[in-house]
Amino acid sequence: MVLEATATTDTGEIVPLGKKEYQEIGLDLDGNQRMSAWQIKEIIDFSPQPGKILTERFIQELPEGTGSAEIEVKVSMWPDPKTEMVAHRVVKKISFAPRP
Amino acid sequence: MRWLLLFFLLVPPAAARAEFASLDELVRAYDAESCKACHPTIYEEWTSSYHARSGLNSLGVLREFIEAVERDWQREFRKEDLMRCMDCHAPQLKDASESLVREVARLVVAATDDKDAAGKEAARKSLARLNVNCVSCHNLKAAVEKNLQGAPQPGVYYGPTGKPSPAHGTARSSAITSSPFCGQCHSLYTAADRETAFCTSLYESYQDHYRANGGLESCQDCHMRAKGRGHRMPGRHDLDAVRDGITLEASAVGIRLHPGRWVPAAVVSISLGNRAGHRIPDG
Repeated sequence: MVLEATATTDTGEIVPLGKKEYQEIGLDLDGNQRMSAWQIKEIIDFSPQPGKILTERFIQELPEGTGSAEIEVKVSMWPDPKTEMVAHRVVKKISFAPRP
Repeated sequence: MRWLLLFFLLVPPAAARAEFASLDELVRAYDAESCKACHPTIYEEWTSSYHARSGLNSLGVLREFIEAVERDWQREFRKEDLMRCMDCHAPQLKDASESLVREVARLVVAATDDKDAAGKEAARKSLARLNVNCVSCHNLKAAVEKNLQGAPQPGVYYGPTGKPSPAHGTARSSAITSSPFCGQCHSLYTAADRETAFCTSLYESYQDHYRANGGLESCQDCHMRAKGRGHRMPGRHDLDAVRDGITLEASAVGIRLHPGRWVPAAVVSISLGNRAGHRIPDG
């Protein structure tokens, strides 16, 4: 599962704000990441646990002269590496006061 | 009279306890096709489920495993090795002879490696006949408490009601509506030699993080009863099921950083919630 936030500025520039991947990392007994079930003997779990709400915050500078931007936040599942399934998308508008 | 006729026309799979040397014989003994006549809606739901394709799921990993047994474990791939995967992906293979196991292993290699597209497709077609079907859940895996209740009886179909059927034997099973039933496969796998395979620890997540924190719903509540999902049992591959399991809220504000330069910057706060009964993702 991937959480991604991007900004599209009023000049059309797309700026990545932040990205976070939630998954289990499978490890063998020597602490090496393994992908195959028979090799994995323990996991480190970065996935959201049931009933829990995770809070993430991103801060990112935008290009000089940006007056406003559209912020898109989306969470996607990737059933396979080629297929993105967007579960939820939230869009917010931000604007900037004139420089002091 | 109609039922009597049906009985003779549609002999349900016997879930026989024999050893099969050919894939055709094994598939015939455990075929779900004959269930369709009396249970058409359930059958249709099942055909669109991942259970119906479980013989093809993780084919690449199984191919690697066959190679790894010979390369790393330094011995011939045998039935007990195949069943580390197929005890869940195609439990009917428990009745396969060693020669049929070798044939299935050959098909797995052909379905992933065959340079000839037609050969690859033919192997995939054969393997697609192996799956988690009606017999798998309503007979083979129906007894969660084997020591208490005994092994499932051949030809008897275990369900939530045990309502009599003129077509086959029936018995009520409280296991089949319970989470431990699904946990037989959707959990850390421990083989007969006690070696584990970390296919998933979904059921452990359910027990240790959902039930431990007050959750009371069962696997069947969300994946079958909710929204009439039935025997499709949708999960991580289904957008609606995924949407039901995840919440997303966000707020954003524009600020200026670096006094004097006054660079515009975006600040985003996000709340990502997991409403499912287990970690997301898992399978």
